[in-house]
Amino acid sequence: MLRIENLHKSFGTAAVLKGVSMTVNDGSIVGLVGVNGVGKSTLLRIIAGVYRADTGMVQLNGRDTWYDEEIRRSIAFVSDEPYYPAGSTVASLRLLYQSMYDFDEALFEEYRQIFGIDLKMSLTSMSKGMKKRVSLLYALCIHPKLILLDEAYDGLEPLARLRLKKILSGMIEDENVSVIISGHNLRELEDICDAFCILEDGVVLSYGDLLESKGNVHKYQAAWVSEITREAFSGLDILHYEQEGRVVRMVVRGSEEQVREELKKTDPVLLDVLPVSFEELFLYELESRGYAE
Amino acid sequence: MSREYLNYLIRKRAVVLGFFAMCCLGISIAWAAGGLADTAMLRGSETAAALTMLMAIGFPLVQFSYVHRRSSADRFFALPVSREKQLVTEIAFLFGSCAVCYLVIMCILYAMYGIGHMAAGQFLLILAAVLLSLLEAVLISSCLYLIANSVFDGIMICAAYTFLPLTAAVTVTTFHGSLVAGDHGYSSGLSYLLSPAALAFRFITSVHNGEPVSVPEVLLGIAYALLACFGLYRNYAERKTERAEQLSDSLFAYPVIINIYAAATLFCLACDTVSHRPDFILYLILFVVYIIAQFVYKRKIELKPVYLAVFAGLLAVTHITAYAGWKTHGFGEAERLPLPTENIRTYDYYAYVTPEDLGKADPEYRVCVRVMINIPRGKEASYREAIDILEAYRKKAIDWYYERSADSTGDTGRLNVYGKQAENSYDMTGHLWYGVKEPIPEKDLIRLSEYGSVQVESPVLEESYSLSQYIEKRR
Repeated sequence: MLRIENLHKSFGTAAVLKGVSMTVNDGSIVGLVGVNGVGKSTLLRIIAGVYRADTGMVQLNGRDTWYDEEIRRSIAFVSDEPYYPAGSTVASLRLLYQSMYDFDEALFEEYRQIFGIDLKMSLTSMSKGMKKRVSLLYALCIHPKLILLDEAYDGLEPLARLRLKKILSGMIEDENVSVIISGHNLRELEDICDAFCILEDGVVLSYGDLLESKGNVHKYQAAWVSEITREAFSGLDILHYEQEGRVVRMVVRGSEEQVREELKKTDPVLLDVLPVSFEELFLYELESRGYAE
Repeated sequence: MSREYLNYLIRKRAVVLGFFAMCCLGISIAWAAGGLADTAMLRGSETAAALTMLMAIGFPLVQFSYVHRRSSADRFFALPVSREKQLVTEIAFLFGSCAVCYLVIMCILYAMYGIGHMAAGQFLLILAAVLLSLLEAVLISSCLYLIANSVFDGIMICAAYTFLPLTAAVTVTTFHGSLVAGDHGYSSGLSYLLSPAALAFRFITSVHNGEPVSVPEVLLGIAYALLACFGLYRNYAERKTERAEQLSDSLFAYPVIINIYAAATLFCLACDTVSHRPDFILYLILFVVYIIAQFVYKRKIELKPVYLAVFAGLLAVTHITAYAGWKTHGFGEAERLPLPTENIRTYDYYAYVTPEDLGKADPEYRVCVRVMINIPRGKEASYREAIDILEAYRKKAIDWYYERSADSTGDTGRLNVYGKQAENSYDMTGHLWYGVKEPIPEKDLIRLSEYGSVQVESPVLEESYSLSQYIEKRR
């Protein structure tokens, strides 16, 4: 289990993380989202031990990820901008992983076939997508307990995404690994993640099980005989509200049954309930805090 | 130290290091073979030392370049090894590579040229000296490179610090040359003391030549290396990884370096200006260079008021200091006659004078009076009268140096004061020389002739007389 408590990080005078706390359970895939510059990559780098937090704590299975070398051996970090020295090939990169991690040759061969990567390929002449595949390939072959993918899922073509999803599912089943994926393509993340974390202004805005959270937020479309005002729904936790004459569309947080009961009290002539996607959940959460403007 | 990481580094660089070692070996053998057999080992050894020293200075710039790139820093700082261990491993690898390369070359050279020509003791002493120097070079070069936040800045800062001792020496030399009357020597000693590389090369040369080694200089080199260890800990183990690819704005990077160079150059210009040799175009050029340096630092061309303010501040401080130096006769340095370190102190004087009065300057250069008085160390009391005359005359020359105006006409002669080991020796040390306005009066020349040689020459007629002969002839 990954435990993050009250994490603070500043770059000079700019505070990026202002007290991030969250927990990632074993076998969970967390989608880490937020607007640009909110600190997603910074958070992942701190977990990976690349950056040092100003204050706060990051522990994986009860061991500090900055000080404990053994626990760091079980963290695979794939940066948004993978580094490959000039002239390096897929094979030459293997030396680093063989020397420093619990590198599994058999897994490497298996995944290499799945990702369709040739050992002799020059890394510097590869496309961005291929480079990401190589980074993922190595990250998956070191028997990690925690995989950190910084925008590494974005930009993969659908087939590669599907293959990665399959591999991760297998790893979660077999080795109970945890995964944190940061990205901007929420539709893609929704496919793979079972939990989410929305960062906003350096703190965790919302965090939890994706299905549960989505089950707690719904889109309601209703119509009344005569025009109605927003004040009529003052008892509801409305994330988004729009009205066209007698028709109201709103996104409300809360149990579907309770909200439906509340709305029925106003005698609507029509009431539809629709589920929200992860992207909508993210957008409405931000909108409710004034980001949409 | 991390064994896994060291293993990785060795395997990663093995081919390149092997190739470099082969090149060094080839060059060293070629150098050793091209001369007398007796000194072949020495020549080869010096070449091997120089090449591996260059490797020790340059290799850290390659090895630590990952620190300066965001993507590579992500990869290498995420490795399962603590920063402290990673640093120790990197340094051990760098030093080990240079040391192994050097030792392999030296063993081969010794087998080929050393047996029977170089004593085992000297061989081992050379090895120890070079290995110590290699370690110092690796530590200092790594430390300087890591002050910066990008590869380009790292190279610039290494270059800036390399030339800083030279700049300091030029500044001190300019101060002495312009503000201290009589002193025109180049202060190379300072550049040696401030330059760990120069100290290391001097140490290696001394050991090779069998000359006595300056222990304080060796200790100073070690002190620089220890300082570098502290710097490395700060700039690597405690480094904020996010510095990669940012502006190199740490305390010892551009902000200080640019202003040190600007201050040193302005002080040199100020010394020239207050000593009536101004060259105002140089101020303009320096200001342009200052702005360019700020561009290199900030990566954008801008003329911020703060640049102007700092430059103006440096201009004011350096000129006030230089002016104070001028008014106080080089902060009292001009009045001080250095204690003799040689066996003999020589006063050597000449002036162009009139044939009628040897104490009167002659703009037509008809007659030249030359005085040379050698005063053995410890016998100053016997030369008291001569010393008093010449020292009083030296004081006059000093006053003349500081009182002259920009449009003063040229000197009529010169007074030299220097030390030497023997009367007939031509090697001068601590050479001071003064331009003179008024020649030494004839009556003083007569008194001085009792302590040394006073010659009167006629450049036109190519004749030379002793003072007494000349006075006799003139009558």
